[in-house]
Amino acid sequence: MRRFILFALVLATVTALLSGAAVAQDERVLIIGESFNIDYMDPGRSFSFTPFQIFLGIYQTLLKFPANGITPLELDVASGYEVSEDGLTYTFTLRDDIIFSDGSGLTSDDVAFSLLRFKHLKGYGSSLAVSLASVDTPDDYTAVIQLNQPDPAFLNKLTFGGMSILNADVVRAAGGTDAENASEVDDLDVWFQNNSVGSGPYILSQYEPEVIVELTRNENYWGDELPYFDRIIMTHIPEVSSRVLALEAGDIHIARELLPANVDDLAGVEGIETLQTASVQMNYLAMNRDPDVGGPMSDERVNAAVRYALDYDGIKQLNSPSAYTPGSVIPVGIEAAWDPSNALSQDQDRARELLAEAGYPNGFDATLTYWDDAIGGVEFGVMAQKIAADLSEIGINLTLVPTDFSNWIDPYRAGELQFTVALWLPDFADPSNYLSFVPAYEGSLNVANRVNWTEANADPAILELRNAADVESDPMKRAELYDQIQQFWQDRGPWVPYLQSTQQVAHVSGLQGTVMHPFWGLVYVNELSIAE
Amino acid sequence: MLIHTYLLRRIFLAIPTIFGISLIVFVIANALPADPVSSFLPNSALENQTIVEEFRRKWGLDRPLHEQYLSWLGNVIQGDFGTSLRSKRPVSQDISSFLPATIELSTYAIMISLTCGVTLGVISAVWRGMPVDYLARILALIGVSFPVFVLALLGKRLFAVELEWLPSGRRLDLLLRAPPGITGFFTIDSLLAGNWRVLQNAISHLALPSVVLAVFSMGFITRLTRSAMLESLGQDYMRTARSKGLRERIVIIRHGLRNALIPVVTIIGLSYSSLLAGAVLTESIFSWPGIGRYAFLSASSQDFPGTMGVTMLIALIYVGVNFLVDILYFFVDPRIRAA
Repeated sequence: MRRFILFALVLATVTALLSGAAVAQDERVLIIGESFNIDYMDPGRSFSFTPFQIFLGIYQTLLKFPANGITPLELDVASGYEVSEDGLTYTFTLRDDIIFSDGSGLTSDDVAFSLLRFKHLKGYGSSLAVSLASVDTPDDYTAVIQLNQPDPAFLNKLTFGGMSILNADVVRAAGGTDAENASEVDDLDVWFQNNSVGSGPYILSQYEPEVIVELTRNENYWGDELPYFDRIIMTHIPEVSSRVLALEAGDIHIARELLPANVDDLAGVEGIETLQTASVQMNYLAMNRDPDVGGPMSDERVNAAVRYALDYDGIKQLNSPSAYTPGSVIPVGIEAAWDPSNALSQDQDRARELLAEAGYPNGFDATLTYWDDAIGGVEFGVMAQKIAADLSEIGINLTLVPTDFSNWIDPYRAGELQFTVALWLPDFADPSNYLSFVPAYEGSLNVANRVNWTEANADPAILELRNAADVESDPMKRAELYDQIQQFWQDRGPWVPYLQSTQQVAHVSGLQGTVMHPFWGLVYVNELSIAE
Repeated sequence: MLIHTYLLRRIFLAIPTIFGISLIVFVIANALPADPVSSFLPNSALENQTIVEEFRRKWGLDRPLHEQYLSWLGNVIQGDFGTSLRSKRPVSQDISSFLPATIELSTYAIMISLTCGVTLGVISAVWRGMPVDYLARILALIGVSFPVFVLALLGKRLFAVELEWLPSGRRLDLLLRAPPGITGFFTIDSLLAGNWRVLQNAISHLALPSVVLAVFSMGFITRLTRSAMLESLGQDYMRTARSKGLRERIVIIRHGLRNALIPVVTIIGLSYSSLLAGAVLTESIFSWPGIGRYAFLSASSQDFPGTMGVTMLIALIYVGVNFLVDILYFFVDPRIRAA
């Protein structure tokens, strides 16, 4: 009897412990589940996806992109700006009512400090500040930025998280600097994991690497519209199926970075809504222009034959009906990008003709190397098999070589792969970012180097287009130049842009303000609210 | 041989073992045709020599390999495992943050697998050939052969989504604060703090992943216990015990099980160590912030300081367990004392 009573007590205790009621709470909390990709929490050093989302809640930039697109750029810290005739001087007038989270006012000193620190840290994204020469501060609310060369994408680059305006006094007090030797003496990697110094609607209240990021409402926020949620918790759920289950179980409100298949699975599930739009992830094939490496693939006519041989509709069906078959490697959504109507369609007869012209009427054997993973819902292994099947119909027999990331990217960068499946996410939302796909200036490197397409073996026509597009700031002339570049790629380039894939998010019903940005997805957390 | 002489000899042998492991891991990690630059720098930065050089300088990758190793070794001797390229924190801080979660999960898992495995093994052996034996053997077979990730996803679907009895992952509800970190084990820390709500929450979060993690070793222990029990049940001392008029339950537990447990006890240490080092899948699926997932991410991203730190930790755990076993042998095996 005594044992029975003991057993009953233990059972009752365990049952009580396991069946606890939900935690009562008054505050409004939004919980987001995603797979973290965090390099730094220091805006000056970071160049990664998750931190940018976080910075959008904590920091402000001189300019910002609109909620649902890339252009036209909107004023943020700046209340206005002027660009000099020669495109080398940008004069920004700043708002005089912006207050940092510690209560101090934002001035031009903070702007100068933040931009120069970003440049001199030589962090992952600092290539965006290569053209930045100096920042003068004639008064508290004027910042004059001097460039060392015309940079048509400069305004666009100012929206990038690395250009976030930091509270200079606080960062200096912690040991930060904007001096030229900042990369050696400014070591605030851990400090920024525990502190935020912005003027946005939230502050960073907790960060545990690979576990959690918590934003809490900035009590000193200067804006008229306070965010709806008191706290935003981002939790690291690496497995996509686990994110879906967590959403279905009610443990999170938003599940980011889902696969296209998840959208189908969640369709009709009560209490859950899904969003799916085209992303700017460009999936392309690259063919090596060095005859010693590329063999037949180094021939322009073979490149064109490959472009005509693919079944683009079939490829799209393997990803999502909402995806695009792109006209060029510049994705739809970026200024001057070709409309998908310019994309090629499968034409196997034309492909065979081109192969015959190149001297390969019976086709040839080649090796297709790919990173054996799935990014943004695109499974490269599946794509490689589909491409191999399509090319076999015109006589190109591929040997597929799956590999891990390092063993794919390193040989690719070294120009050692004959034929590969690759992807590109833009570093900034401007067509000039895609000049990386034309031969680089001598002495510098870009994506074209990875297929050994260089100044030495390129047609002078594409080099002239590159030189002109690199400095042209007139929108009409830019559009014309990029149109010609995209035509060159389609006719004679070593690239096959086969898919502009989609991005997927699911959230609980009743969440308002859910707008998907083509560049960053569902990021404007301060504009989200729950219908009451 | 005196005990302290024996211990000194064991320690003397353990030190080169640990450093040997560190050297092997360092050489293997650097022999791989993979560059951390490619893993950490974004696309555009890869082609910017200034950024690449700064990355190499900041993380000491521009120095010769032997210099990197000796520098790392010198720092380790002073208790500094370096800074993780992934988290940007000291590796020792990462380990102290992630290790308790894994130890807590593995401890509960080994307790579950031991309790259930031994019980099932004994039942199966005592009622050999009966339906209950077949049932226990089928359960054991499922345990050792069912993929962990399938079991985890099915468990989450059933208990978290359909029945809503248990949470789908993590160590604690996101709206709750972790208890003050004394041991790093949420169940113990919340108990010490008298925070019953957190205790309840931590147990409910532990339930599913610990059972999933326990299933494989439970199946293994069931099979081992059954076979050891069957051997033990046929021994002369069992007949002697029964002939003395002892009750059957006493005969089975005190005489049969006690002897059958010797091989089970031997593998508990190894099972526990492998649970600590091998909980990667379970930790990933349940978003459990443990050392297994940390080790996997460090290795796959060429985070040398992180990889080396975790490797040294796991090596220390194994060497420590073996050291304890060696000490036990000294007391258990008279031949060692006589040598």
